[in-house]
Amino acid sequence: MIDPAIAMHDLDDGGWAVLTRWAAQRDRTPPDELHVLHESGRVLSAVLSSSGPLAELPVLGPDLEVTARALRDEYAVQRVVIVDADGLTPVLAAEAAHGTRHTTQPELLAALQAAFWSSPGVVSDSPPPPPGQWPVLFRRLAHLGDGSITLVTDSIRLVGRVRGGRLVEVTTMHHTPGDVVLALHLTDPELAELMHAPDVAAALLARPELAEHT
Amino acid sequence: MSPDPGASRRVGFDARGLLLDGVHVPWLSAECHTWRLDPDDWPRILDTLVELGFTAVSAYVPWSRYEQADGSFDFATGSLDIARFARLAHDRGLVMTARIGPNAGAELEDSGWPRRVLDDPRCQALRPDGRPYLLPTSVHHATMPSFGSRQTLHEIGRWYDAVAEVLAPLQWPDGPIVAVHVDNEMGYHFQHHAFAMDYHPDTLAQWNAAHPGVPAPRGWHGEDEDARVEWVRFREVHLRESLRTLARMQRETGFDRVLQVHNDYPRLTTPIGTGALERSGAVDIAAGDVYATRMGGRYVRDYARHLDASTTMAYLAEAGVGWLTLPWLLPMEVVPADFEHTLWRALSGGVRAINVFMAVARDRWYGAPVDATGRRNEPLATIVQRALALMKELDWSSLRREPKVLLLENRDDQRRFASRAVRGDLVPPFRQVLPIDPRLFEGHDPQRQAADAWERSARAALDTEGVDVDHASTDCLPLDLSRYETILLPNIGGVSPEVRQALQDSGALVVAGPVGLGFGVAADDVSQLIPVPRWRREDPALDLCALSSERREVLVAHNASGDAIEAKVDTGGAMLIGRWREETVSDGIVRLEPYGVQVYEVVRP
Repeated sequence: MIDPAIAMHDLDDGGWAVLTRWAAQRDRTPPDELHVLHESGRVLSAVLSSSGPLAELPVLGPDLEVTARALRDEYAVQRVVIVDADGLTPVLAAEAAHGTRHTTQPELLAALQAAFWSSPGVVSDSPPPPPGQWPVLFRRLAHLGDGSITLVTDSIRLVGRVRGGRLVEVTTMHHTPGDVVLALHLTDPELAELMHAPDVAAALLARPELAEHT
Repeated sequence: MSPDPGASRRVGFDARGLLLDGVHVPWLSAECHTWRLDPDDWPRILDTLVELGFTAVSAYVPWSRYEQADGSFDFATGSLDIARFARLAHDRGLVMTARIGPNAGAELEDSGWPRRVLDDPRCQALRPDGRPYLLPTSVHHATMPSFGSRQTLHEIGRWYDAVAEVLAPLQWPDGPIVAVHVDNEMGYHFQHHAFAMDYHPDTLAQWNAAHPGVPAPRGWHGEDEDARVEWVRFREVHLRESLRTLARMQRETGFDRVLQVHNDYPRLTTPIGTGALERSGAVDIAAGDVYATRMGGRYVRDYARHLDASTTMAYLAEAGVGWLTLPWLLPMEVVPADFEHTLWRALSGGVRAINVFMAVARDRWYGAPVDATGRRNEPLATIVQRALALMKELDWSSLRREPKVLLLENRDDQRRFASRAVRGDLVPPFRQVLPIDPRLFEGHDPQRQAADAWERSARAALDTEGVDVDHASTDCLPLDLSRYETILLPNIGGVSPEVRQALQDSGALVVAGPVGLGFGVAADDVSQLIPVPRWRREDPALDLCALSSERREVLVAHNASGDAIEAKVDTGGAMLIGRWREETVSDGIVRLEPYGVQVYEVVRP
């Protein structure tokens, strides 16, 4: 997990720019989805992720799963998510439980996402995406013990330091540290592909460098 | 605020920039986060900033870093000795802006607030259902404070007292400090949803005092639209009055000889009103922040035009160079060419003073021109040095745009659109928080879509024709409307009688759409109704902006595309002398690399 006091310093501008290019590409291409917000069947708004708010609101039938399937066909999107605003109690409960100073940001966000998809107010077609493997990845990293994680590609040389299962520092690697617990050597295209994977954590876990630590 | 700060104080400003004892000083500032640096490196860092041509430094003084666990303050130890930094800057002839908050942001996990304040229920901003508003900060999350809360103000007062004791004696001319910031980006903690907050009892008491017998709208169904619109207006006023209160508190603690500045992030709709804030007198200078890549150059230009038309002296309090290192939250790839492109975009849009953020590298940031020990980071350092030198050489702050077109943001319509937002109890602070599109919470409003479409079409027509245009809000009309030939206004029907009258009296051709005003012209296509630009060119990707003073004429050229440009420009026989890159254009053919930029001095026969 990312420590709230993480230090990120002395980063090579060019290498970090390459890394953020891939992150930004991922960020700017959300899945093609239709989202509908309603209160007990009364539609409040509908947004296509690709083009924005719909001028004409869809009508919801009595069976929301059937409606979601029909809307998915009608709008030719990957997923339709129908949200009953009054049925998001688990999200509010998760925020109250995890929005404390003792929880890391990734833990909070993961808890909110999980609570959303498990909420009785949410109907989705296709089914919700599987939960991200970030908790598994961080458990795996924690299992490696305290030390340094290195990432070397054609453009990037980074070292991250893990203490107590938390990432506490990221900086440019000027020389290989003596306490490496995990070394990732990739080409730039390999890293780009990894960052564009549906679940980056799962893609990382599938790397042989991490698999051998199972 | 003084009605004429340029005349009544030793530190003042006017349309051309900073005034010290009545003498103009270029305000070219460098952001430097002292507490994140080794204090032994401060002298070298400041020397390098001087070498690059900066005339000023700007430094956050984050409350959370100076307040100790026992509630005392440490302004003396190592990197916390901000007075020493100020004296070092003063020794080198630099002036300084002290950003004393209370909010800092600055990629701090607590946004610069002491945790004990954030965790105090008496201080927390509240959702309409009474829950505290939880904001993911850069690397953590926090329940953010209410500026209506008397307890929050009490705590801020204690902080201002402490920081003033150290820094107020260093106000110019006794020290370098010429400005203090009154908070940072106070915009309901990045949340524009009208009903997301603030339902703190003390804020509600302000509403109740102004609207007796009217329950504060909470974004539920069945609420009266007039009351909802009034709530949106109240939130705008609440922001301004909160800043006025903080500014008064700063003056009372001793910061009474310097300019008071507020900086907003670049948003032009409710609740933000940069021009209206400055005109209200709550602060001296309402400034803006902007971060963009070269692909977003036109957005930077448009924002600068808004500042230029709406404020006395367009000041970019954060002219972004580099970006924060948070690829999991707000990833942006920036390279040196981005700063080169966007800086000149801002300057050609009318910006006259800048604070380069970040000028000095630090934790959680990449792409600064000076590293954390004071060494030049090339090629950025040279780009910055050349830009600052050229600004001084061309006496940049004396140059003026002369746009003949004004594009207005219709604040009345915007308020009505904002009042239709739904479920402020649920709207997430950032889209990364929940896997649904936050626009769902803006409500269903086909009129808004029509108005937005009209405005997009008008902007596209202006860009295609190559017309320079001022931007402003109906909330803060430019003082002299008679200088415009054409005024464009997206309108669904919400224009106030005062604004209608001002537009009618302006003498300009008023073009409104998609719904007209009953006078002027109602048009779907504005391309035939805008004046022919002074500098015509054959390639719409070539953006030209003319600025002039009594002594010189300058033409800034930007390539808005990713393809190289070779385009004919109607120069009227003038010769163009390249000042950013060496070249002479005598045949009217302008050549630019992808997203390239050139600054020409115009020489007429």
